[in-house]
Amino acid sequence: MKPSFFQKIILFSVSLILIVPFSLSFSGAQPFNYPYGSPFNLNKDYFKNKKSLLSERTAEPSKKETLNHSAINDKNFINQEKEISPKNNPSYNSQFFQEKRMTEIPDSPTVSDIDASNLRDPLLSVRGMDLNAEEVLSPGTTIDGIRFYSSDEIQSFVETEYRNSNFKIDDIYGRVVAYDKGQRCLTCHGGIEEISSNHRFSCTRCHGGNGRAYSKKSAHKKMVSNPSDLKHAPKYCGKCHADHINKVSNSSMATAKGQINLTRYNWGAQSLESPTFSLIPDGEKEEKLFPPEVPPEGQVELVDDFLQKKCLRCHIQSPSPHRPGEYRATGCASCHMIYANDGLSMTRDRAIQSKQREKVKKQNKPLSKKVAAKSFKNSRGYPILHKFSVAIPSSQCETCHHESGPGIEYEGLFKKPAREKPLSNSIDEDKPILFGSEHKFLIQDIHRERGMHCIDCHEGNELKNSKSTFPSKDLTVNPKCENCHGTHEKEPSEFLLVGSLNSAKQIIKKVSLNPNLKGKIKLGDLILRDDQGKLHSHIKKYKEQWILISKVTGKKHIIPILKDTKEPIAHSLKKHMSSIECAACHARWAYSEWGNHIILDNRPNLETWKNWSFSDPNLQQILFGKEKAFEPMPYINQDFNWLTATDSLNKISGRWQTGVWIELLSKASWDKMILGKNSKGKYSIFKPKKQYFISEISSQGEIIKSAEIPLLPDGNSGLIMTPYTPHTIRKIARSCESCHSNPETLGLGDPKLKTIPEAPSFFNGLTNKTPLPINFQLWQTVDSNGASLQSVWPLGARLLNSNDLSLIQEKNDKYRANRYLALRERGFPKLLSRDSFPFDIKHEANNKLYGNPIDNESSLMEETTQKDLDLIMQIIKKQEFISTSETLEGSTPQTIDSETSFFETQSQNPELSLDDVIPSLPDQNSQDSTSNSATSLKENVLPQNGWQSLSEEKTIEFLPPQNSP
Amino acid sequence: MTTFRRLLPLTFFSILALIAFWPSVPSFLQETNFYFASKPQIRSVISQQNEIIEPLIEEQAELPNPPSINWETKTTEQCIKCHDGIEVISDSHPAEIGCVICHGGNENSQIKKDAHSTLIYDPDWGTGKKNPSHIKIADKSCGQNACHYSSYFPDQNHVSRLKKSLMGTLAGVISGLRYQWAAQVPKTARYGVYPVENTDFQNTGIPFLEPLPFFSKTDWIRNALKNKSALKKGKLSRHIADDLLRKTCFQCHLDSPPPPGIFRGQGCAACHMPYAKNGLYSGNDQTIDKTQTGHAAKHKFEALPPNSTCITCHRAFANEKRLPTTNHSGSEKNVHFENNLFPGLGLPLQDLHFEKGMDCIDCHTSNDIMGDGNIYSKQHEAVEIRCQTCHGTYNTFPEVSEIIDPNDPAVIISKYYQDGQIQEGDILALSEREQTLSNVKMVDNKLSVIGKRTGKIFPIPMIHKSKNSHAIKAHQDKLECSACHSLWIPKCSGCHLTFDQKQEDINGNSWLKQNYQLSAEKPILMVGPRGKVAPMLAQPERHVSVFDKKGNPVPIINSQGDSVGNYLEKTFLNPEGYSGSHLAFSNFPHTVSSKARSCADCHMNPETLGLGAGKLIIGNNVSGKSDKMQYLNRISKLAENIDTPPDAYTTIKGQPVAGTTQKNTRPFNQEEISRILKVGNCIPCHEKPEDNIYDNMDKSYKFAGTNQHRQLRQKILKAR
Repeated sequence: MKPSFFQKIILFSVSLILIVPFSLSFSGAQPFNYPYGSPFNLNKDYFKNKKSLLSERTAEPSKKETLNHSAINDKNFINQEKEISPKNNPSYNSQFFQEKRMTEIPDSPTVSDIDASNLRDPLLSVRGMDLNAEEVLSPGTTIDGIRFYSSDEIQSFVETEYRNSNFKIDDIYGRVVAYDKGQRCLTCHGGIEEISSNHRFSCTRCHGGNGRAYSKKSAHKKMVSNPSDLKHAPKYCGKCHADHINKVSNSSMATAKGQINLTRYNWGAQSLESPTFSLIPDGEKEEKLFPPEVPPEGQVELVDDFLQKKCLRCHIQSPSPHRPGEYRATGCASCHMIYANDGLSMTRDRAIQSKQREKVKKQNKPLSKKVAAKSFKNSRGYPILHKFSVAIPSSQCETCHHESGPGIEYEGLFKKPAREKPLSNSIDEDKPILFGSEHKFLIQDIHRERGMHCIDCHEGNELKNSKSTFPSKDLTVNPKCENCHGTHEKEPSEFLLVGSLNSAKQIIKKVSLNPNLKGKIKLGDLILRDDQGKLHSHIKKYKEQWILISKVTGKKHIIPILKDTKEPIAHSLKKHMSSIECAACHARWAYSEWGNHIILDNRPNLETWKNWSFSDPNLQQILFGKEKAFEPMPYINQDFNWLTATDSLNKISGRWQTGVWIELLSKASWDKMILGKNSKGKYSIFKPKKQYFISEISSQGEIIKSAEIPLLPDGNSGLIMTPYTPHTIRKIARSCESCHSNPETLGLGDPKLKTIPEAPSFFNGLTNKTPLPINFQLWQTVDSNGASLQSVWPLGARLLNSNDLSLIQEKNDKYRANRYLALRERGFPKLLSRDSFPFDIKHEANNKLYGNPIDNESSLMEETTQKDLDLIMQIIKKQEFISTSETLEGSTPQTIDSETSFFETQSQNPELSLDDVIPSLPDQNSQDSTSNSATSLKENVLPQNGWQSLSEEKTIEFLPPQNSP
Repeated sequence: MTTFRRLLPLTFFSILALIAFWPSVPSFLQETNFYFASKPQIRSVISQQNEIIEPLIEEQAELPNPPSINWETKTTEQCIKCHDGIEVISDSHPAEIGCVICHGGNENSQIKKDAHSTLIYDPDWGTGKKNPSHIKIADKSCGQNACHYSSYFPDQNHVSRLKKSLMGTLAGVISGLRYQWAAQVPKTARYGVYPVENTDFQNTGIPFLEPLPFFSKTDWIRNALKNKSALKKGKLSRHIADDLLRKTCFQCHLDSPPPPGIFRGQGCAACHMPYAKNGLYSGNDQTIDKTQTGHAAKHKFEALPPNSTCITCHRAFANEKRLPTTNHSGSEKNVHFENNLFPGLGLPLQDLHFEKGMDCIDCHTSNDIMGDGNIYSKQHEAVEIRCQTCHGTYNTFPEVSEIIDPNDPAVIISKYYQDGQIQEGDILALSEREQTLSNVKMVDNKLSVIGKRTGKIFPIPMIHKSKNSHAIKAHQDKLECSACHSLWIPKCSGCHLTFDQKQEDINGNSWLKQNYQLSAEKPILMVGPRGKVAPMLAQPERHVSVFDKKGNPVPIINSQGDSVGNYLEKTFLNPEGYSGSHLAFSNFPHTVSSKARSCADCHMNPETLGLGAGKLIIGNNVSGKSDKMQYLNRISKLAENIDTPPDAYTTIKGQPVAGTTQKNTRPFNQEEISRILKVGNCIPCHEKPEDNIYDNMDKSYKFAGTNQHRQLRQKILKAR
């Protein structure tokens, strides 16, 4: 139906009325006031808009515009010239208005929003009025010889650091060949890379599926996206690589034997003699599958529940959460398919590309907390290229080995423990995080700094070791420093690659698989042979120098050989060399997690944990994910069972079971490096392995257990320390004092804190389940008599005894002499010849040159005017006027305090408040007046934009705590 | 003579001018303070700025002048009819003097509204409970009738002293933050919570304090509407520090309401009226609700406040049972595990004095706590006791004096003590300002502290001619006792202050609650305000974020109106050019132990010198150019491309990194660092501080270079 001419006119005029004022107000022109009221018969909304416009302008000032703050302030503050016609306001129809009319009605007195115009440039008094602030703020600016930094832009730097994996595509994959032929699969997947030069098969040979199909659905029928998953591997990879598959299936990375059995032992659920559990049982040794079966609902043993919900996320068969740093595949591909930290691929496969484009659109900051919090709902990452590689960079290993140990240490990352953080969401959500948590940046391992990766020391076969870690004494991985660096007496031993030898042939074959070694190691070369007879194909002797060729980067690293270097004082001591692990002195810091308080909450009130920075994917999902599936928010009591996890394209699915585990570290430290003796009898750094405190809350909210320490089957405390090599090796070793006169290093406890004097009584306390003594510090491992307070794993290792303590603490002439020599080595005697201090002189000269800063504070101040004061007086008078007029009307005769009564009237007659836009202030005197209701409190917000406040009047309701979901 | 001639016309004209403008001269002189040469020139400044406008609402009564009160004949107060059973406040304020004399009010009425209509209390802070001892109005109640104000004895002027004390003015906190964030240029205090002036100004301390300027006009209006009784013009600084001070720091001011969950009084009552931990009243007054929190435990004064009273405010440095791990609200929410959410963190060692049973007030005199009548800008200026006040030094015994006058202040004050009243002829120790310490006297020829509340006698060990490192001359001259004897210091790492207007509370406070994690750290050393080496209270990495209502960071706009960054994680720079977000504050940690820290702890440890965690590398260059630190923390290296990490307070080249708010205070410079480390060379062999090589270091260094010393050293080296 066409509108008639008459209708058109009406429409036009209406739109004119509607549009013109707004177009005027948004045109960016200088706001102005009509001295005699508005010609458009505007109501107050017009002025409201004008104000919001102003505040917008001040929030984002352009460079060309110079703002006159005082002018804006005044205008924002009050438009006194303007008098509002009472006709426009419906509330003026009341009888009350007749009296009100006499008084002048002031405009909204405040701008409640603090914007840029309310703030002074914080550096004005430092730099004076003329200098450009950017010069002061930019990093590296020098004032009086001092560098100033602004941390405004930390974020982007940190993100680059997280993103940077320090490897080149060429190094890792060698030549990249892309398929672009017209086969069926490649119709969609055109551009996909050749998996490796040794696997020139059709797609279906490894992936299954129907290569001749025309639709996606039929083509992907029975297709396996990851044939190297150990479920499928025997069928696909196993055809050729049966021995490898076998090895991997037996390795602790797949069976999780160490994790399961040690934790169960720690909690007293199994003894050393009882049969062990495994995820992939080995039929011959009659190992059990863990757990025997997953019960659909109901009770499992507490330790098994914990293992399933928390620990067993980290074996190569379980899918990893889809979040920054942890994108990876399963099975063989979990190591050999390289993923980037943000899970983004560089593949030319068109199908994958289009999928990924959607993801990138959704996540504009792929490393932010916002993304990490949705680890179950994010789509999975893709490997960087569809290519296998044996040149596996450290970042790939760290997708799993970031928890409590070597991975993050090697990178120089210090994981911040979960703590309550009231940061504004706007800062917090965008913070770059890796593995679910924020990190501090500490000094890296020297090998990392030089560009070496994990596999340059830890070799493949060692990682696929099938040795059991429980209850055996041996560690599975064990590279030694002296293998490469030798000792002062002996160089590393060499091995000549002779073509007739079988082992040499194997080496050459192995080398040819790695693009970085190919051609660099040839027959006739001298390679390294360690004390156990193992050959290291990437370390060779060349022109009297030992050279390590990095398997990941191909870079040549000259190995410093101890025999060629001058013997440092500490090395000249035979006892040091024979009885101390190298890392005990050369580790710069150690990431230790002290006291892991785990709370099984069957009825968690997650409101209380709202602001905590947990790294656990499930807790993150519940607390920050804001997923509809998890509502109602405050009472979700389900945790994810990782044994049932299956990975599909867009989510991780599996079973959710009652009871949420909340993990809290008492302390995470980098400076506590406590000594003990490892199973080889050498002094080594010990770190807390399992210091669990278990709490349990039933579904009724009762506390069943409150921070109990589990007991080992033999009755000892479940606080377990373990010898360990911190991956933070540096050339400069720790000082002599840090062991010989530092009780903390010896395990005697921090001297600033109270200590447990006698171990036996401490143990008695634990077994009787009395609460932990308040003066116990987790880093006290022995008492002054050398009796240990904590247990040790593996068997054979021990904490220091009285003999060791007295030996280390004893200071004889020999110690003194060596101490002096060590100081001399570090250059201390050079200080004796210093008698002038040029930097102090320079500093003083600078001070004189710059002089005292100018005291320009008074010029930066502004003063309120008499006008402002008059306004306040008016408000107060009016306030009184209302309260008195109220009493006159007789509705509320018992007005006591002027302010309280004002609020009461305001809430009763909302029309009244239209005239009185007064910042509401709660009267604290009213504590003793009974008018304060406890259940609901009317929040009288400062009027944000004049009249708007009325419509947005908020009520905060304090709900009584609910008891059950 | 020629000069006289030259000056002649000038004199002539000036006399002419003087005659012409004679009527306006006196006022001119008065304004510029030539007229009252003896008075300092502050008075006029104050009166100009705080032009007080007539209060609009009569909130408190003017008390009758002293002569009109005759409390011997005044027995007909009606107050007790309702307040039946209320306790007598103290022996020195007996029931006979009545209620009205202190509280005001209408004594003849039994109607609550009428009787309470003229009560004396301070409406400005709004803490309620009609407390007449608020600082601002205490001169009308406690201070009337020359009781505790304008008394004949100067030390009886408690109210005027308290008004000028640091707990009253908060000048130290205010000047500290304002300086570090470049809101003001001098380190001395300029502003207080309220304006205050020292009329009997004796050239110690500061003459006057102005009231703290308001941050914004909004803030001023809020305040003006709240404090209607004293409506006045205000200054607007537009500096965020002033908002932070007013909204959060003022919580610790003597007059302010305590934070939720903690209960204490205000003004004089803050210390002298003990509160129960749960804030409930347990006396017999029938009108007071015993279920309502916020009342004093009883209507009773306590002349000698217990430690628990001090600790309500001075928490961080008190010997708390346990270092707090999260903020108060955090632990409240997790009631289940209130005490063991983070088990096994240990228990810091207590101060030796505290452990022996001494109270805070056994060391700190009334002058220390309530002020001595001067306005100071920093705590270290106000405190009059030192370790040597009681323990003496290596060369001297403590100063003492004999009481001759029976009306000596020490005699008067000691009548409240449990035991050990002072009499004529007693010999008492003297503080740094020559004031007698009323509880440190000679008992059986031994200087002893007498517990004011306990009456226990603690004989004081003297360090005169003691062995150990006290004998080292350099230590005597250059070290505060606390540099070695303080075991630990609380460290709060990485405060992040957030001003988020989205989350503004009903008081208009947009500052979000802080979660802090305190840890006990070994004190780092620096040069203290008295020029001696003192422990450092280190507060690194403080950031500020300012957001508007939509959650966007507020831009920073310079004087030209250009945007120059924003307040998303802002750090500051103080007027000296050092980091303002990174504070090195010289402090006396109350964690004294008889066992001092080891020699190597300072002389061989770069961390103690404020160089940060890491390894020290001493270069070959004689100027120290090639010296460097290999730092453990590399965040600033990565993020800002700056070498010094957040935990360094000075560099190896002696360039301060952290800012200080105290005068004459600074981290070590190059000379000091190298001088301290130099001693490290001797320590391996000469490990005992009694070793006489330390008597004269210059001589020893010379000897170290001789052949004789080389031979001696060789002897030891051969033994290895």
